[in-house]
Amino acid sequence: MTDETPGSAGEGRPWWHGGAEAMPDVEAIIGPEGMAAVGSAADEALKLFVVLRDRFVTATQSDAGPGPDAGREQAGGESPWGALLGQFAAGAVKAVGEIASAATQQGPRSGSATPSGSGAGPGEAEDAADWPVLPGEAAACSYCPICQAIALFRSVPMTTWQRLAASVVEVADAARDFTGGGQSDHGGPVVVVPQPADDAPPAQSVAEFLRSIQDPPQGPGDAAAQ
Amino acid sequence: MRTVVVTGSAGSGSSTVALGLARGHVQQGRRTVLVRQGAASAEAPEGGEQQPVTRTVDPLAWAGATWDAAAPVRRLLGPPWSTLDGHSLLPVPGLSELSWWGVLRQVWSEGWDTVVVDAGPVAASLPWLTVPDTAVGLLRRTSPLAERAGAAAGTLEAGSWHLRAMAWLDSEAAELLDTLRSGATSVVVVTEPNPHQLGRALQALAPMALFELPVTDIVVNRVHARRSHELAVCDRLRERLPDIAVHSAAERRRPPPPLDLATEVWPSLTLGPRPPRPRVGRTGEQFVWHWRLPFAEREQVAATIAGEDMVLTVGPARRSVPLPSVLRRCHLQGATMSGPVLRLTFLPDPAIWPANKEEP
Repeated sequence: MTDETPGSAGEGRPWWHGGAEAMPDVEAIIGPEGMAAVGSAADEALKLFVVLRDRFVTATQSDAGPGPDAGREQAGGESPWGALLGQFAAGAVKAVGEIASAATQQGPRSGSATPSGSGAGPGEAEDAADWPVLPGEAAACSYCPICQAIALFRSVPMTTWQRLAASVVEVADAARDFTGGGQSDHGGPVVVVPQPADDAPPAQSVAEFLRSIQDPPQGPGDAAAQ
Repeated sequence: MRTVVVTGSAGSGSSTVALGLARGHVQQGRRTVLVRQGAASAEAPEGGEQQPVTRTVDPLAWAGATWDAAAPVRRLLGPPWSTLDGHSLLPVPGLSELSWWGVLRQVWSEGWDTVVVDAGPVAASLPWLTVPDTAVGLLRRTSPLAERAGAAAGTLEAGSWHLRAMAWLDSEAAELLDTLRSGATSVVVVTEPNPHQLGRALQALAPMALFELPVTDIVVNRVHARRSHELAVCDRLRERLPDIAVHSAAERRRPPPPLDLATEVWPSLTLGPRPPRPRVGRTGEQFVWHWRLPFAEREQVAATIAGEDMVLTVGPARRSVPLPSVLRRCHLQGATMSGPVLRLTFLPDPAIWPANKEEP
């Protein structure tokens, strides 16, 4: 992996942590004087949003050609939020394509998808073959709440999710019981005896069924069998 | 794993059918075990050629083995529990039912392809077949919801050992019920075409349906090929029980040995589809809970609500069923019998029904 961080050779980071400039040293994360590269969940979410926005703007600009206002021009003069959404959609498609392509080639990252520089040094080919590094695997990820949350979700077996999905109805029922103001007293302890239905013949008991088969039409073999 | 429970009226040949089913599965190359009641000394540890492995249900032997296995716990309790030997135990009420489930639980954990259970006459098999459901219903009604939730979440206090024991018992019984009611378990009822035997077998269908035992097949055994009214019995049963597959087996003047009969007749027996389960439907403002109870007599059916459960009585059988969520907010208005279908009618409780609750 192309990691320029001292002491962390071979360890990659998820791309939303930014390049080497954004997070130069793992030790700095925990050092009192270091750069606050990994912060609270809110900080990381904000950082993720900013990196996503930058990446999508870059991707859109590269699609639309050079020029600082290419993304805005592509949005066709819409509101800033509309332009941002357009950039978001276009960038997401491009980012997914890049990641899938890199994963297929099993090669070092390139272009804007490279999180920590592009200088692959000697002896790092094996590390590059491990790309993409999953969230939570890099050393810095142990300090990142988002990475840890993703790693936690990934560690849950699929069967657990399937069981949870199957219990959604039960959970909904319990929630409805809770919000519905409790249960009915059902009008008190009443013993209900079923009445015959008007639209159907009465149920045939075992005795009636046996009587019905004890008077059969006599067949030719019955006399011989007696 | 496929489980087939064979029961029937006494003397109708249910053991022969069970053995035949087991042999049929062995011939198909499936690892098959036959569970039946009997002395433990009659147990065959290894199945011979075309012979299923046999496990026997011997209540006293099972109780003794279980008692001896619990020796470490009994030593903690001290005398007389620690000194009582397993061979000196006496038969107590309920031991026979528990021994069936103890043996079945062991067999189910052994990874067989097919488990054939020769459950004997219905009068003896119904009590133990309904034990897990009755236990779950009893525990559900005697344990407060908060305690059950605490047991499930593992947050019970250290001193609440009895709640832990009840939670363990509840989970064990629920596991047995899951296996019994899964699509891989079938109940086969064996009878003869004469009124005495047929009546005994048919009277068991309603209690079995009440406890949701998956009766898939009825075998009318020893049908004389030249007695048209005996042949007609099968046709009438097929008309009355469209959800159950009805088979007939011929009477023979000189009955061959059971193994020959099993080999010739029963491997071709295919088990029928799973019968429908009770369902809740809606008709206008009413909710209707449908129960299919074959041959249930209307005068012997009663229903009442106890807490979160509906207690249904069909003749001598009684079951406590948890109410579906929507029916827990309803009044039980009435019930009707339409053929074999019991329809329990519920009306929304105006005091707590959400739509009415919003009204001033």
